[in-house]
Amino acid sequence: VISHPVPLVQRFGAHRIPLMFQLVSASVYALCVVVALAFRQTLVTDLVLVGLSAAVMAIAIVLSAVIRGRHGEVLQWLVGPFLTLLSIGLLRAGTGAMTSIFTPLVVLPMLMIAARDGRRWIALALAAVVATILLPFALELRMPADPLVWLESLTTPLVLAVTAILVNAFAGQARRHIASIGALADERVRMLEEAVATSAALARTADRLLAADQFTRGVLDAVTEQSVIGTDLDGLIDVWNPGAERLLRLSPHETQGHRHVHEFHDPHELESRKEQRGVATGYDGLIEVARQGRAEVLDWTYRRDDGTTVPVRVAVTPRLDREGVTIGFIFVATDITELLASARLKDEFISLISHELRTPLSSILGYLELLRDDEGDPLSEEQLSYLAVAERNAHRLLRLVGELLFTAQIESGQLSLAVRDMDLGGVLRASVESASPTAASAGVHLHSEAPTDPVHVVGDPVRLGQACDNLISNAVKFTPRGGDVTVALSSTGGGTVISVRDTGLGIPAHEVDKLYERFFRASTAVRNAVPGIGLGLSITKGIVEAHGGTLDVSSEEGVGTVFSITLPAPAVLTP
Amino acid sequence: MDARVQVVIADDDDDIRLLMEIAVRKAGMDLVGAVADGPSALETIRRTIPSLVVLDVSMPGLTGLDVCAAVRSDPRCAGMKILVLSAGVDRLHSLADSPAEP
Repeated sequence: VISHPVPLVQRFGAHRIPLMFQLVSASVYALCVVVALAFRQTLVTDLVLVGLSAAVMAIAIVLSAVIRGRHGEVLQWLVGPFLTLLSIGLLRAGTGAMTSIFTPLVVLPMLMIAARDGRRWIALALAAVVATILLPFALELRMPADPLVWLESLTTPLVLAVTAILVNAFAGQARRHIASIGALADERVRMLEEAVATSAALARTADRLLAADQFTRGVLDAVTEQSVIGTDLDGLIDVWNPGAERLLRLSPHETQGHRHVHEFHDPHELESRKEQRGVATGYDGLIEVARQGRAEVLDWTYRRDDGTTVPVRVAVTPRLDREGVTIGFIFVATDITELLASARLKDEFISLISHELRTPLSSILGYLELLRDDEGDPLSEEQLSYLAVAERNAHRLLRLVGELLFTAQIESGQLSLAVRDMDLGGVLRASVESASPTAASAGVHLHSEAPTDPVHVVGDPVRLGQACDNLISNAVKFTPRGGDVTVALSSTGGGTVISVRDTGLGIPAHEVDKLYERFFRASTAVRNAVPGIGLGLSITKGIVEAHGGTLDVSSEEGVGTVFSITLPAPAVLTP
Repeated sequence: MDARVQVVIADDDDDIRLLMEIAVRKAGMDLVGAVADGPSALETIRRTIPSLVVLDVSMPGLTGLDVCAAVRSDPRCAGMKILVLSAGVDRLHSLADSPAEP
């Protein structure tokens, strides 16, 4: 609740003020009447008029007390004073008229009227006073004969007029003063209210910010699987969540404001990063990318104070203030011990399976060959044909195992290339040659448009040969009898392009994106019972990409498909 | 000195080793040793100094690559042909003179 000065008027209630003035006038009047009655012999000339006067005054008091409300205000202020003047007029008439000693009584009601806002009230007050003074003559219905009466009826109002003007002016001034004080008070109230509203809004904003802050803290505290470390620009730690506590076995009190984030990094890693990036310190190497406003995720080793280490994947991001200026960095680290363990397990599995699956297959193939080539006891044609089926399937199995392993290797990033300067034309011709028998038996025309001059690239001839084999054998497989497969090789300044075009089944447009997914097989392949398990293209893509090249495809269902391998110009590759 | 090529075979898989023995004999070579682990292979090679050695990569004791390296560093074995076989997908590229065919 706001307290401010209350104008006097309001303290008593505006409607009571006229009554109070009226009562003051009435009290003075009553005193005069008592005096008049006390000296009735000398003062009172007409008792009836005095009684009438008292009655009018009583009515004036009653009306002043009764009249209320907004519209009643003017009446309230006027009825009382005018009736009072009438009452005084009657009193004068009843106490000797022009010789009455009660004439000065007119001053009070007149001032009440003249104090009202506006000059017209002065005129009205004077008119009322003149009327009051001349009332006895009006009652006797004659004009005063004595010129002194006229003089008196003018001099008294004249003096009163000056008083009225002054009162009116002072009252006006006082009113304006009160009004300006009121306006100031209102303004002050308004400003106070505004301040209250503003502070309420501020409090709400503060609440919201606090809630957001608490949420952020809650999230930070809830993240126990990730270490979240916040630092300033120099790496001094000021945020250390329970995840960090768990991972690095230190409480926030031990680190916040005391330790730098790089103290928990393996120093050798920081050193090699520093040299690698050519920056001043290992810490600079750590935050270099984040400083440029980008996030960076790298694998690092955290070193605890007890000397133990833990492999982590750390995302480093810049920490910004309201203006977007970097004020520090955030390091979110995930323990990748298990991830690395499972990757290692996978590698071990690959190695194991490669040995355990291929050794028996090698045995099978070797002994089958012994059987087939047994000169001492040659097999019959029928037996040989059975052996051929067994051999073909053993080879198929061997190839399948090879493809699976190769895919696993690509996926685990273990694909290693024996890169050298090589003739891609020769590799391509060899692939075409080896595919020729299959193409011939499938009734597919296999054309080679490879130039006879050597096409030099830097790459792994065995792997690139494998990629070419895959594309050509795919093309042959997917081309119906009588179709064509065309292999081309061209070399430009920008790189070398091998393309394998067929007039085969084609690949539905919506399946093109999935072509390189492992084990994906085009619906056309499935429908037409083309054998395969869907690894060839993912392997080919893996080989091409390991060479820094790209594998592209364009296909139209029922028309054919073109696969093209683009290898970068030799200078790009580093053997 | 016998004109025939003398061969030492080392492979821990019995079937494969037998297969190679047969193949060596059929090829008219002289099998001077067939062993199943790395240390025996090295011992046999140093003892017999054959002209051809066939080594499996994964063997107990010493791997084929270990044996190969040891033989290569032994001056008595200079000029010896070494064939390293692998059924796996181990990296052999570092050994320039070790053609690897499964």
